[in-house]
Amino acid sequence: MIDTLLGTQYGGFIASSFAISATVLIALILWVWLTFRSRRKALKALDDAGFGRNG
Amino acid sequence: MNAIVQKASRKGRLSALANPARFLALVRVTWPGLALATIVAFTIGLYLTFSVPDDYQQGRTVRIMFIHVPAVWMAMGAYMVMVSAALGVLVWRHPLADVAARAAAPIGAAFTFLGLATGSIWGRPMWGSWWEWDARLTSFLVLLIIYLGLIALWRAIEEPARSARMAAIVILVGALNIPIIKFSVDWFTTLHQSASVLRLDGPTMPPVFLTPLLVMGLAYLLFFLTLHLLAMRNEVIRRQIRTGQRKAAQAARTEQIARGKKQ
Repeated sequence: MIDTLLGTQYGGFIASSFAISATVLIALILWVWLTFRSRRKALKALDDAGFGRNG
Repeated sequence: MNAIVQKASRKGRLSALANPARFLALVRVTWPGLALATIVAFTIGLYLTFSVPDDYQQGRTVRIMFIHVPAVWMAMGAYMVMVSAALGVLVWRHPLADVAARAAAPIGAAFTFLGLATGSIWGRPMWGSWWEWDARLTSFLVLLIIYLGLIALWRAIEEPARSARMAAIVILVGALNIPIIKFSVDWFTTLHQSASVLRLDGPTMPPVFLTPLLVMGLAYLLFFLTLHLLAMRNEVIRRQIRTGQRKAAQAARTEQIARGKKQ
């Protein structure tokens, strides 16, 4: 696999397109995960203060 | 929790999922399976991608196609999800429709960016150019601008019902760009080859390249479905937070008025 990526004339193009794709897909996962974490925390704070879903 | 999901599926209606508790329970049950399927599909797809022989014209750069084409498919697929959601907002007024559209937009924008970036990187060695203002590339760039415009629109308008309606109208108008992207290679003289997979008379691509492309397409689709469900969950929670904050603000105001009267 590494040879396919780097051992050719166009290895840099192949490697960079896969690297950009991996970065963007991982960034999407992080965005969803971090957003969920912070919103869950905010919702819990509201729940505890009595203004949440059951407040 | 399972009882809630079973009840929702028994009803067999989207309206059953309008209840946030039911929807959140459904997401909790479905996302791990979808995520696992995504990992399996990506593992097989990447293995096939690096096992194929070199193309007689593109050489090893043909491997870029296996991440470029699925990204383009999903960029347009995400937009079609938003079109269905926009109809849900305007016609059926389903509470989850705007949630679905809002959650799909950033993911669709990311896929559009990936389609443009990987296409540009492939174009440099194959066409000798990073960018050409041809019909396919330009209409695809317009798709990215539409996505970004919609995200800005949702952020700019505070009132939820108004922002949902306005975004739905913009989504439906922007949908005109989807057939332009798809058929631009037939309608105009472009650098792009004509369609070789999604054709009425079947794919013209040899199976050795078609198989990894379809597996990677499936992996991207599963990735989108997983992330879209989770992003929808985040949006539902955001709305619950906003409702809670309103309650808190109202309580603070009532307390302030009561204190003022005492004084």
